[in-house]
Amino acid sequence: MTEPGPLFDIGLLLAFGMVAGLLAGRVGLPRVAGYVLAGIAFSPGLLGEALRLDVAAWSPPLTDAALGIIAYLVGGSITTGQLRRMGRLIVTTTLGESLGAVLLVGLTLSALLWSTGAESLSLALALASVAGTTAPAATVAVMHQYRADGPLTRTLLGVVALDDALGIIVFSLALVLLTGSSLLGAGERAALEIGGALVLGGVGGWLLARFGHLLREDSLRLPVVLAALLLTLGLASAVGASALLATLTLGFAARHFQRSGGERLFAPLEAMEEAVFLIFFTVAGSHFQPGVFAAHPELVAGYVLARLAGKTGGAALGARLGGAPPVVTRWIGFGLAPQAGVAVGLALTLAERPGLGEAGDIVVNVILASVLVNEVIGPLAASLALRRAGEAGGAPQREE
Amino acid sequence: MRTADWLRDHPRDPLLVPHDAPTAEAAARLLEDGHRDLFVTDDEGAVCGHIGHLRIARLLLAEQRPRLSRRHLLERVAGGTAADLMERHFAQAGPDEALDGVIHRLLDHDQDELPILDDDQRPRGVIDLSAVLRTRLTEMTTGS
Repeated sequence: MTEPGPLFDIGLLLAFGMVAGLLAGRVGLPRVAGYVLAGIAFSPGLLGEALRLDVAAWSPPLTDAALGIIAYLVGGSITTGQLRRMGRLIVTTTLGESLGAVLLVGLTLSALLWSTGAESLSLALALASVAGTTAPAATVAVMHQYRADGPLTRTLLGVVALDDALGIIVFSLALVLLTGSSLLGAGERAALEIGGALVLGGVGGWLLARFGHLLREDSLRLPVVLAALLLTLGLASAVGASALLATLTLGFAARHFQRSGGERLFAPLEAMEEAVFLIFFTVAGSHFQPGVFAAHPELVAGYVLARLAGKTGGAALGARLGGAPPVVTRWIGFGLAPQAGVAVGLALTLAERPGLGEAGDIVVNVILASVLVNEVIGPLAASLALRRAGEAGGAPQREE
Repeated sequence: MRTADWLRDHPRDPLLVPHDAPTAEAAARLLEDGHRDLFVTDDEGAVCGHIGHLRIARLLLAEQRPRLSRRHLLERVAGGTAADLMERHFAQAGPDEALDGVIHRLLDHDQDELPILDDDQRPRGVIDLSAVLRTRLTEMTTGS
């Protein structure tokens, strides 16, 4: 029998990840913990070697495409009209909590690495660039569980829906700095990477909206969107533009030019989101290296605590600037602790950049560990916030 | 039979809402009239979009769902107009098309009503899927 190859590897990871996720749910653990454990089981140090799985060889294009899908959906979730209607409070709170987490994680980890003599500013910047993202699904699940409603709930919903867009923009800017050879070089690269991505995504989105409108058959919606997405990713990579920013802009522009609810261009890919996260977590799990993790426990602790402090402090400041009532200012940051799929996808992008070397592996392992911690404390913090704010409508409902 | 002939025998007006009507108003209109399809008009009165019953239900009952996409989250928080909810691509037909040649469009688009539109997209009426099914059932049972 010949070696089964990458398609077998992907199928195996998906199948075992899904089963492990379901089992984790049965015993009261977060589903992503099961995904990660399945990935760890197939890492090179464990079953991966015996089964001759070579995840690192095929995962970069798959994770790029998967992250492109998420960026496209994030871009397409927002319209300029919604931003205007949501008002100042949600925008200032999103800016505060997202940038607060990035700044505090960056400063804390820089100080931590400097104190241990590591002096790796790029590692601190890489970890900080991922810190702004949250996991809306976890927060929404808690709200649903408590049938929550009120000013805190509504502000929180707006913030968690918006902040991944800001997180992806911050990450794309940080990537320019991380891969630039000098500050001057970084400036030139930034113009090309960001400007090129905006033009590519904007033109692509316009074409997608126009072409999508001409399509008569519903069965062609998914192939057309996938083609636009992959072409944008490929072209961005070829011209040196930011692929993530290009797909984020593609989604935003397609929704803008289509001038509609977006079911036609976005619903087919929204149905794929769980599969995308399953890929992220199992692939990230296969990157798990106990040695790297054991060597940097202080980075995990520093990242989790600094991110939480940055989120709560930044959100409170942003909410106050936006004129929020005290109950929102006081508690909103606690609803923003969960972090999951988008952060892991961004960390994988860093790990697969050849220029980052060992720092890329450290980023994946630190983010993976912190995601697992946040998956446990995030829902607890969110439910505490909703209950203290008096917006938990009743006893928690058991989830299906 | 042409679609215009069907409308003559089975007249039914479409439920219309202006594109700038708030989503709550559009939802109330859809529920009051007992229709399952709402058609959105532009400033000139031409039909430019469609909102289905399920789309409205998903918006109004969003808090009942344990998982929401970011797009649906923002819809829930930001509200909006009928134009923000509608789909520009929907099943429709012209007055001179053959009925047998257009009914499949309803089935492909998960709509119950097929709007019959003039060249300038103004509505002449809608063909109700239930009425078509009743006619078909009668034909089958009487063998005509």
